[in-house]
Amino acid sequence: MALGIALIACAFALARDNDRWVNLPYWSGQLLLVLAPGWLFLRRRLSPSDTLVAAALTSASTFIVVQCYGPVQFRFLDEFIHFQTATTILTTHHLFGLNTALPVSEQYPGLEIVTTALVLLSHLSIYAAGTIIIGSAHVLIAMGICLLALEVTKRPMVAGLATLIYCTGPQFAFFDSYFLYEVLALALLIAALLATVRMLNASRRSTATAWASVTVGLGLATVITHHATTFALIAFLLCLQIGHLATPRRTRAFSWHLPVALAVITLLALAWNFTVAKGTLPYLEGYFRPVIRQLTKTTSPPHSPPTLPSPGLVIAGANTPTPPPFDRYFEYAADLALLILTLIGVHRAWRRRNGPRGRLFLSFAFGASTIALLFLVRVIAPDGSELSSRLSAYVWIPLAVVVAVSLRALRSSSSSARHRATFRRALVDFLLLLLLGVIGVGGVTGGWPAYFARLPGPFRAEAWERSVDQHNLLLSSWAQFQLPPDYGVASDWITTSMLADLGRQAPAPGIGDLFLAPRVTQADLLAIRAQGYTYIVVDDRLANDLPAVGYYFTNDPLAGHYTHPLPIARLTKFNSIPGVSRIFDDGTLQVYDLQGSL
Amino acid sequence: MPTRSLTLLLAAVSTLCLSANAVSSNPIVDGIASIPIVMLLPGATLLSLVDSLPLRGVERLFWSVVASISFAVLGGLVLNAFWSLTRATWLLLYLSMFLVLTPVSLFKTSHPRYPAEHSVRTNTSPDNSLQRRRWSPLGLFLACVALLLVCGSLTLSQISTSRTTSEHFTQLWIVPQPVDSGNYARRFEIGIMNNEGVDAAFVLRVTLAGAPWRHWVLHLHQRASWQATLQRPYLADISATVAFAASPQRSLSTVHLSG
Repeated sequence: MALGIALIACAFALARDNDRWVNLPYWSGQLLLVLAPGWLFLRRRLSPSDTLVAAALTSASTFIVVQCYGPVQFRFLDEFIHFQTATTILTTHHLFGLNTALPVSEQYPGLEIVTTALVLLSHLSIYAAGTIIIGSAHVLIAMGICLLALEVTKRPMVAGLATLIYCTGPQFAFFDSYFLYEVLALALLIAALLATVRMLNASRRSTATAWASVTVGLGLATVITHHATTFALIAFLLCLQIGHLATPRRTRAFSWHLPVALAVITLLALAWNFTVAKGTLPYLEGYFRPVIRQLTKTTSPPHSPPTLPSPGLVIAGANTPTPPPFDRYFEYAADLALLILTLIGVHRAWRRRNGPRGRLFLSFAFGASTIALLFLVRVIAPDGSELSSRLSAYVWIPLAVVVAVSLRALRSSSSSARHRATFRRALVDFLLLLLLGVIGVGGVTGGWPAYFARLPGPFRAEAWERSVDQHNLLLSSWAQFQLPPDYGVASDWITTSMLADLGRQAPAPGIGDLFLAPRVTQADLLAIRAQGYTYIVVDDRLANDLPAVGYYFTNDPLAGHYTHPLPIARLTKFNSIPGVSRIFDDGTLQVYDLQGSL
Repeated sequence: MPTRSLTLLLAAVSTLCLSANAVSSNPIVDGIASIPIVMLLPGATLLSLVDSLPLRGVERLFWSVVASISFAVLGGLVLNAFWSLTRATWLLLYLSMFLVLTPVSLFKTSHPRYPAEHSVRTNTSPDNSLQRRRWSPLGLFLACVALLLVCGSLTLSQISTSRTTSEHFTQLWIVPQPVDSGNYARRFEIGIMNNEGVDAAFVLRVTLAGAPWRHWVLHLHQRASWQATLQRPYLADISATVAFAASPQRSLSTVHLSG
């Protein structure tokens, strides 16, 4: 695994130098990160404690890879949102201060509480403290999965494989290594689930009660930390409750613990949502409404082509950025493999439902089968790829256990024949390693970051991690101290987000027309001033680069239709508007003040 | 069930970390002492109270960290409700927690409710003995190589990031004072910040209605900034340009305040 990390670090260094021999060390390193623990779990008979250590090292290796990607600063846009909340807590010494970028995030301050506690006591920076806390949470997630699988199946090999499968999930390696409230909440959720399973398996009433208390305590911490994870925890507990109710009455023990824990956590979540986090439901509705609308729609409305501002800027045909074929094929292969293994696991769980822990495993199989729903969301929902990727963090928990059980079942069934057992087992292990390799590579190609930002390098327009650089970081810092807070700023998607997150300015959706139009009239300025926007920020680099995600602006009217970068004249037109002042310039980014234009 | 020696060790480490953090003004000492205070010790102390949960080894470490994080989250909520989130209140919270729980834990370890065999893990296969492992010379060598590879990877990333992706530029700004007065401002702030990667000398020229008005030669360290507030003739057009002193004709950035 260390060699894998070193190879990936070399690939990152080569990528920063724009070297073309990047892919060989990168993919070799990624394969090693999967195959080395895979070989360990399949071929060595590890004790539970050794498996747990190996699980921790497996997840630590993915976290170190992320640190090699961006070793000196936060790189992901959402991290800056939590940076703002943490800064507010350190400034005001109180929670629930205004977050200009994402108001709902300040209502779930669990991550920021722990971070600021460490910052205040240690004098570390928010970046350093956040990295320590998220690194710990990242490792705890994998250890929790390992312990959970161990508790459900009692087999170290399955526990190790389950951890490895979870670590190959589309968002574990990078997304779950970022300074995000979801990551800490996920660690708490998995620990709460583990406590619940321990409670169900407990042989003493006092032990079950103690585990129930742990579940409720962790549930409360989850409620304070992240909204979607809280709902996922309630859904998981409900699954376990249904599985527990399906258990024959004679084998049930202390059955009141789970309903009580479930009820308490649900009540806490409701109380938090209706008293403190009132913005949660409208926020989540924004995510799910398009999905539901798409699912319930019977006929699609006639597709209207976008209005084209002028010839030469765009063409009429769609030009949505698509991943290279290599990425897509591996992603589909990994999805197919996981789907088949899940089906095998579900079938096995159903057949053995009356065995010891059969109902418990059936609950997990039921949870894992929601992977089909995830695929459905990804295919039919607008922006379904992002939503399914976010949901995969939860679905992958039972899925990892079920798939690991299937892998072990495949291994056991093929080695049952006595003759040439050693050779057959070696062959089967080789094939299973191959399968793990496909799942691992598929996890990278279908996961986060997207293909255009997978490797670090120079600035790219609208390319998530690749768009964060010193120019927009220092501009955001300047805006925080020089401009009045919460004034409207109109700019491209990345710059707007960074100015909202770090500069504490109000983000401006729907300003694409302002930039796309060949000239700006007084009426245009009147309209954007009426919407509350005072400043326009222009990034000259938009004239050199197509947007990696397919759009330059939030709600871009030409999303998916750009074939050429924005002409430079569209960006420099603000210089010639009477009364508009250019109040900031760093040679690349300019800030225009509209206050004198009308 | 934790042993009495483990509880005593926890109490000693907690006292040491808390007192080091409270007394020291050295950031390194604070950093080393505060990580266990926030991330490990509260959970370990809480676990030492619960004698009905059979936890050992690495798993105990897992639960200690999880419980510590949860304690910090809930503790922060309590501090916010009744006081504020400052260094002093956090220290007080942790101190009171250790002062209350450690004696209880010591008492409980002296009077265990469960027999010793109960603490043996029940949910794992028979090979789950936490034996003290002997490292072979080869194993030790491989572990050292792995550690070196990881440290080398992180160092390589640090070096390559700072070498290749750092942009060199100079920020120049002109902001009306007060900032929301727009073009009617009677004063304005002008400033520059050096992000050229090296110490540099700059020429900053300000023109009033197209005519030269002010002129500065500034020597700035890397990441250093300079700013000044000037009176502005009513509704006058002000422009400013910054260039390297070595090549004053090559403008780096230009700003203006419209009249």
